[in-house]
Amino acid sequence: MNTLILITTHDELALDCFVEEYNRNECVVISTEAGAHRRAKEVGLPSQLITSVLAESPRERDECFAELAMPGVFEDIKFASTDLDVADVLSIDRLSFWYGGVNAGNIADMILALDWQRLVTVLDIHHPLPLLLVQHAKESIAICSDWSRELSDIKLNFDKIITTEETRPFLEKRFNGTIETRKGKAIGQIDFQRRVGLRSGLGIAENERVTGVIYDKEFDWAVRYFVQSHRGNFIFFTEDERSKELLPRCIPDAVRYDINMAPICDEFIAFGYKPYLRKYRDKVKIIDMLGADTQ
Amino acid sequence: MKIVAFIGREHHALKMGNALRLLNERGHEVIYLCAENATNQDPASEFIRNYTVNWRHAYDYLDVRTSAAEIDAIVNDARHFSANQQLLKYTSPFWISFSIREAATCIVAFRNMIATENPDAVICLHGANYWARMLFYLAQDAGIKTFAFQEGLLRQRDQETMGKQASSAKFVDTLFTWSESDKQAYLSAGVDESVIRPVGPSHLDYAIQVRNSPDWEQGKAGLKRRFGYPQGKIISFMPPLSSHYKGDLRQDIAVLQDYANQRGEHLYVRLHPFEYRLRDYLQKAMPAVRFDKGADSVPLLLSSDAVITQHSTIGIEALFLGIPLFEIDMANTGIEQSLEPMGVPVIRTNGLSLLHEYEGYNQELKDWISNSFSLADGRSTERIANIVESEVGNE
Repeated sequence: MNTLILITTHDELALDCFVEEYNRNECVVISTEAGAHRRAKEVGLPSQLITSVLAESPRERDECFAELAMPGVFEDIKFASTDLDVADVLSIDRLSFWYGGVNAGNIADMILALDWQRLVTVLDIHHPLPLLLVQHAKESIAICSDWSRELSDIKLNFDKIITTEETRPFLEKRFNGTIETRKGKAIGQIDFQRRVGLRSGLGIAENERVTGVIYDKEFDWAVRYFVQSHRGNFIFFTEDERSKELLPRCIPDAVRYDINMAPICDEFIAFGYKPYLRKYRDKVKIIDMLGADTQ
Repeated sequence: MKIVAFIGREHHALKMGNALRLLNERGHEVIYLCAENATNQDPASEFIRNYTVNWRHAYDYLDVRTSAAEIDAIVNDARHFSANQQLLKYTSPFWISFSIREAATCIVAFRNMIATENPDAVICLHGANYWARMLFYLAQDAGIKTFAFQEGLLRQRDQETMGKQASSAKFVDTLFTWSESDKQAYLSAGVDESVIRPVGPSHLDYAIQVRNSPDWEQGKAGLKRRFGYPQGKIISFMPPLSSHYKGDLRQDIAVLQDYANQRGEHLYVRLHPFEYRLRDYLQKAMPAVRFDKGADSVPLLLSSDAVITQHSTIGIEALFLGIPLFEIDMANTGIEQSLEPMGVPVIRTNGLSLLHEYEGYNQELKDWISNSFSLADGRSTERIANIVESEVGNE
């Protein structure tokens, strides 16, 4: 069987697996993203970068989208417990913005025209191809470095997923195929040894309980709900620039510290799984109040 | 009367603000309802507290003990779409999966909100909106009157390709339009006549009143000071979304800036509110150009001595306010739904001199405006409040 190594985004764990795969089997290596393609070349993979720049007018694009999803694939499909068409909600004011148009279809067609039966790829849910091509493969392997909240709701049809020890428990709940575990790339861990020194610097007594709340814009309501409905000594931390900007606007009385101050906390609360949570180790508790099974 | 108004983004609050304020002043309880905004790059909670209104988040109506199971039931029923071959050829599974869960959460939250608040009316900016569609459906299902607005310029292409105008009236009892001619566009799209109520552009009522007041010149001088240019003309370039813009946006800004500089006039650029990243990028790349960053376009519109655009709601708003309007087509590719046949001058290559040769609206344009914009009299808000009271009261 010929193997297609499909690279849609850069991922260190996946790159190691791709090199192993290339050394073992007959492979064609295709990248769809320039940065990932360059990195693949650097480690000796004969990556071919595929792009598509066909011209498409807004009218042509809208017409094709309407055929695909208005109602198209959603014909006669309603949200459970309602008489509300799925297309009415999802299509015109959401998926139409993210529709890849003729170029997305063209790239898929080019890859589908190649001679391959086995797929090895990164489990990139921000790109259509990994989950599209898996359904055309006789055998398929995906590399999943980190869990995400949205993966909980996606049907994973791969035969095998290679993942890290941290992600394995999430996958075991949702995936029936083979799971192989590798050592994940280390990320900077919080040095909790600095707790005493930092606490004394801030005048916080040793026995005073401090909870770190991780404000991520994606979970804005959940954070605000939590701090309004719980009492405690909360210190806020952010992990991206936009969340840092939003925190004082959305929770005006929030006390935010730089991540260097994290060791002062006894525990951390987050509201949905994100890869950056790994650095908080076992001190982080994820509370997902909206039902996604990410625990 | 209790009214729930959905405010998903700041322009919803700005466009519906006058009508909601008047309804509130007339003694009706108005709840401003918001929700999460997809991945919350721009959450409503960022701006809504500045409006000092009675606002609630839809998710506050979720029951943390029971709602998760209800949400999961809806998600599990639809999650197979994230593996749908036809969709996956063109769309990332992330957005399929994310949007299904967000919709499921909103359906449960909105349903609980309706049961808790038992409103008499639900008002949203436009019915084709992701959140409004669910809220309108659930409200109608509960026997509650639903009201929507014309969001902006009606683009023929949107109706011809995606049926947007017809779709925006779905689950809507009353649709407020800006003019009689817009009513005709909705009728042509197949919307039932009984639903459509031409009322005028209520969001511009105060601006129209100010523009028509005897003290207008003094007011305009004050506004121009606010924009940093008390002297000299302000020329505002307000293009549509860059993906819809015909021509080279950056080059056209540079040409306009150069022209304004040569004449001692001042260029202000205001991009579509969704394009704040592009705006910040261009601001760094073109530090001499002034970009308007305000949430509301009306102050800059009122300060402008000329507005340049291309197939955009802002162009119609400029005409409503009697501001000299120009379309731009420097690439000579033609503009979608150009207003040139109605008498709006088009700036083409080497045609910038039009900006200072302008002598006011020509007769053709005056006739078109008086025929099409007769409801732009500064009293649209009052008409809306009267209709809401009468239709809800008649039930």
